[in-house]
Amino acid sequence: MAATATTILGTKTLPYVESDRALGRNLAQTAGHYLALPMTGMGLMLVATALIIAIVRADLSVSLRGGFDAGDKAAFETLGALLPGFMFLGFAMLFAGISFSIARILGVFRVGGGQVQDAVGRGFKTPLMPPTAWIFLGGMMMAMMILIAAFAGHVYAAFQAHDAWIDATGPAGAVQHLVGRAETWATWLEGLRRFGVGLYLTSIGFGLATIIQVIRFQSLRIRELATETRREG
Amino acid sequence: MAAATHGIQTKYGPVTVRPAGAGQTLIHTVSNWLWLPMLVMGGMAVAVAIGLGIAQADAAKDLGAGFSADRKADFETLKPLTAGTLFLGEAFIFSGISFLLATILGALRWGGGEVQESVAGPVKMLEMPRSAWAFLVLMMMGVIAEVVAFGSLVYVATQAHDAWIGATAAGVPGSIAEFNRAVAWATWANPLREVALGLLLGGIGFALYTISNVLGFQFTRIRELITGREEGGA
Repeated sequence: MAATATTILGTKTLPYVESDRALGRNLAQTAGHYLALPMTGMGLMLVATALIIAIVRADLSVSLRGGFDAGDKAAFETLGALLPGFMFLGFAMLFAGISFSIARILGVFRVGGGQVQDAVGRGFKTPLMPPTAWIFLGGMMMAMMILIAAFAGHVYAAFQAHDAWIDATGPAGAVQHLVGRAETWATWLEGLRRFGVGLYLTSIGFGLATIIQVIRFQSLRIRELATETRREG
Repeated sequence: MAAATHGIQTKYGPVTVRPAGAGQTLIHTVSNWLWLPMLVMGGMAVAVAIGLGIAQADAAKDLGAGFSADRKADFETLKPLTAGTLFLGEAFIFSGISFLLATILGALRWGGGEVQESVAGPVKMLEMPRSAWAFLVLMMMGVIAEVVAFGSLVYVATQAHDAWIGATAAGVPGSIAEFNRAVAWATWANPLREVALGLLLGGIGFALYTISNVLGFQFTRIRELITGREEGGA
């Protein structure tokens, strides 16, 4: 494998390596290849779970209007804390599905670019992972961890809400410090969730920017192959 | 004489071999026309939601100055309308992105056919894969769910208005039945709008997956054209 270069046909491009054989997918692209669909499927299932929780909660809300019951109220508040957790964990999986699909596309460019260069038989040039790809990967992993942490936080808030209401004797009979703790957690977790989604969207943007750079590289490489073939008649 | 159309199986899915390239499908054509209007409508809906949010903040300020049934009814009416309009706008924006991805798939189909025709070989075209159908179904379900959620939140707004317009004191709605109905509907309509966004995101995931498959097929086809060796046939 030759040292890295950064120009093709006199045009500056991504740093790349020259080799005598096509390079396969890297680890992130392999993960994307296999995980894109399972992640999307899990995301859809979690979002559907959140919808079921919402319907059960609406039913409990109707029951509670008929008269106070500590068990119903505890269930209502517990589900209220769990609902955003499930919804955003679902979003996390869906965003992961999108991110892995982008990684899969990058893998297809890498393998496909190698196939085409192999067919032409004039050596292989493969771009190194650009900084945008590293930011994409790092951002995606951080966003996933933040949203999973937020889900755990919502489970904790749900426990607090349940304990606050389960022994209540009336609508004003909740354990106030537990209600306060559940509300405090719910408040800052909302900010954390939004931050996680924002980070995911940003990293997806960097993933798309990487695709653009790879397409530019491949366009230059195709031009170079065509030029070399024409020169040699 | 050009060979008749026939099908073969490849690792990317069933492929049709034709004498000439095929144009875009109905879905691609619709997407070419709709992606921009969807994005514009989404932007407009989000702008309207900002306006409603400002009006809601104004109503909250009035309510803080002193309770009146009209002020409370205004505030409670604007709350679901703001949320509904905002998410409707976001759904339109995601739909616009989905249509854009469909236009990319259309461009790959059309461009792939053009390239193959230009080298005078048989034109191999990937049939619409299952992931593309999943993308379409999820996108349509997402838009429908978002419109249903928006309609439900408009209903919540009317119920909330009727519940509070006859109120005589803070915290005591004029009509308990309408208040309860507004609360119950809002309890599931608010999550439904997020579910709709989830469906649209799932659709976008499937669309990107489809694009990766189509690109993989096209790289293989380019290699076939260069080497003159068939690789994809089963």
